[in-house]
Amino acid sequence: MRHVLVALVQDEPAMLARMGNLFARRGYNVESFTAGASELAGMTRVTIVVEGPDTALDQVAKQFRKLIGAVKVVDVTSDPEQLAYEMLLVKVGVNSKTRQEVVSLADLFKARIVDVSSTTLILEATGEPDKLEKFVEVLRPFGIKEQARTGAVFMSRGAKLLNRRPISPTDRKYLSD
Amino acid sequence: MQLNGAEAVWECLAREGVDIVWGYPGGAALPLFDALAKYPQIHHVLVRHEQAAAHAADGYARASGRVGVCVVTSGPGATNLVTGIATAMLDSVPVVALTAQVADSVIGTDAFQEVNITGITLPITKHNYLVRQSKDLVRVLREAFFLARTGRPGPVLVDLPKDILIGPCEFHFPDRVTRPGYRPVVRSAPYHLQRAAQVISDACRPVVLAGHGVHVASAWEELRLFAERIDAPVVSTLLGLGTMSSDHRLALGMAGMHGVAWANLAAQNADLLIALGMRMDDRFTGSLPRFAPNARLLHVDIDPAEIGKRVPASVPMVGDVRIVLEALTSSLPELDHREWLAQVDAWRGRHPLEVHAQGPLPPQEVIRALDRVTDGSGIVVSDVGQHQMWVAQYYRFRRINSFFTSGGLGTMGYSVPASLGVQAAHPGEPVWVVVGDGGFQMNLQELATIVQERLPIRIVIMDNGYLGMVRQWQELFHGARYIGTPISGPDFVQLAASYGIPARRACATAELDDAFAAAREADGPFLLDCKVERDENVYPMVQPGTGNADFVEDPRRRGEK
Repeated sequence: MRHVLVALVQDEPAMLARMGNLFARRGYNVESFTAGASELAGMTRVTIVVEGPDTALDQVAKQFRKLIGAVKVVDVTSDPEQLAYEMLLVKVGVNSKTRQEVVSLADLFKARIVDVSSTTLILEATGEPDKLEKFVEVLRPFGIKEQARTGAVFMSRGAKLLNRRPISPTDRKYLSD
Repeated sequence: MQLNGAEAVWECLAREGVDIVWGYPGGAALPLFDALAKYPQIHHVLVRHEQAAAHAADGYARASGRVGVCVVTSGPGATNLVTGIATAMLDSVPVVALTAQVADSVIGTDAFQEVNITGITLPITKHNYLVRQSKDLVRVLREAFFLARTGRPGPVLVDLPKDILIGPCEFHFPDRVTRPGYRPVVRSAPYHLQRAAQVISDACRPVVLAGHGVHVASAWEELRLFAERIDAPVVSTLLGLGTMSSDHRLALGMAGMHGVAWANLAAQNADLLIALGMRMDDRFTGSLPRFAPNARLLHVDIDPAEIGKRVPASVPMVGDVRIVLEALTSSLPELDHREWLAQVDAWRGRHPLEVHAQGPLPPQEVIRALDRVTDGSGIVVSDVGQHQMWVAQYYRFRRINSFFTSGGLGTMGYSVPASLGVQAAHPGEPVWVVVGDGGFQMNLQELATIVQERLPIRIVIMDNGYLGMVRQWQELFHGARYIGTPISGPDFVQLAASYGIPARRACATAELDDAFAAAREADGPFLLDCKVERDENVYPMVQPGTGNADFVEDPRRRGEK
């Protein structure tokens, strides 16, 4: 089954390698891995989409929590109140006949045209991974020259927070050092 | 306080209470060794190979309960630690490994003796650090000791670039250490305690499984009181031997692949297993689907990732074994399981541990002689292989925390260097090393260190000219084709003599008591070369893929061979 792990990790050298090693060692196939600044100074928020059996994933989440520098690790797979967003850049081959058709499809999917040449268009779309998947499918007949996706990031709707237990004052002091 | 980096390192070690380190100098480590002169309270032991420094620090940590420290140079010095660090990782031993590194300015350029040791040791350390700024140095070292000894202990490596060691360092030793997100749970939730007490009260055939975690938590007394309160037999893992004196009526000894029959039968027939600080290793459980089929599992471990990893737990209890046992014992009434214990005794009577070996010197007799000469109360360090299993079976372990061996990684060559550290934790007392002729030849260079430090280490070589355990598997599972397992060696008595170590050879059972008495009376190190039967196998044996109740006994027991 597909699992989504969202984590807060300390922004430290080798943290990426530690996380990568964790998944590689147990042979999991990581579908996407994103990392970027969180609301806390010195903390990176990572989102990992990974495929594997449930019991095995439970073990990986536990091993992940054991990493020194992993402050919070949550498996959000079963949370129905999740928002998932991903960005896509896609370079589509066009000619004078097909250009207008691609532009209308982009419009339909609320994608933006960010670059135009005589033989290509670059489209940017943001949305749920499934929607982006469909968009790519309808573009495929025109010829996809290049595609780049960021991988999805997740966030709970409403007042629910990933880091329910706020960071303690001693930890905060440590982080600001 | 203004120091240079190297002085700051020793200052940190001194404040952590370190008074002995094992190491080997080299180019990048020069500043570190230079500064050691200012810290006479720290004794540096020069080993003969860096691997030995790691094993010695590991042996010291196991025997003393304190953090063991090894100090080596960059490149090959650092890579030679790898086996020792992995050994400590698999057995949860608190070791701090300090490796010198090339100057920060040339890191990443493949400089002379540069190796990415933090990358190499990433999967075999609890955590590791490359110090890139002087201002981080003291905090990192403080954290290294904190992480190594707290929670589930483990090795922590700190890589120290040469310019950091030479450069100035403003020394400020923090009172407290914290790591965001690092809060080992030591106390189980009241809900789990209540459930555990209920499950224990309901059980008819409970068995306690005592693992290395009992040693790590110093929970020996609590284990005994708990077992007595609930009147349940205690089965050990390999590293759980010595958690309870074998004199105790409830102590059954080791279960698992070469466990004694009654311990395996008790665990297999239990309706409740109370696992304490053990991780259901495959050598312990045998075939998982056949493992203790009617038992519920109450699993206590400080590492949440161990609970449910291999065997699902009915009652999971994350916590420090000592604290959990205290809470459990006080919440339970005196229980009585005399019928169950009588059943276990009947198994013991039906499947006794017997030596059926023929020939002048059966290897099991060597362990029996060691047991006699030490009255089962010696400090024993064992290597890995057949002799390790015979020690586990035939030695009595009447003394708490007196047995040290590489369990999880199964590191041949561990015993001789580890004994350096075990000896440091028990100064002046004889330490007995039991080692095969294969494992001994892996690290025999440390004889020089033993002599240099005048350590009263007694080395008993179980000399059979084979890599015995591998040969046993070849005999049983590979058509008795002994490929790569016959091993030659020097004359060990003459070898010892060239190091200035008195030595003897024993070739028959009748010579053993005399030889061991000579070893015991020696004023310093001693080597005893025991020429044991070459083709002896370890029994009982649970063959791979079978359940622990299907152990194979010595065929000669029924006159089949």
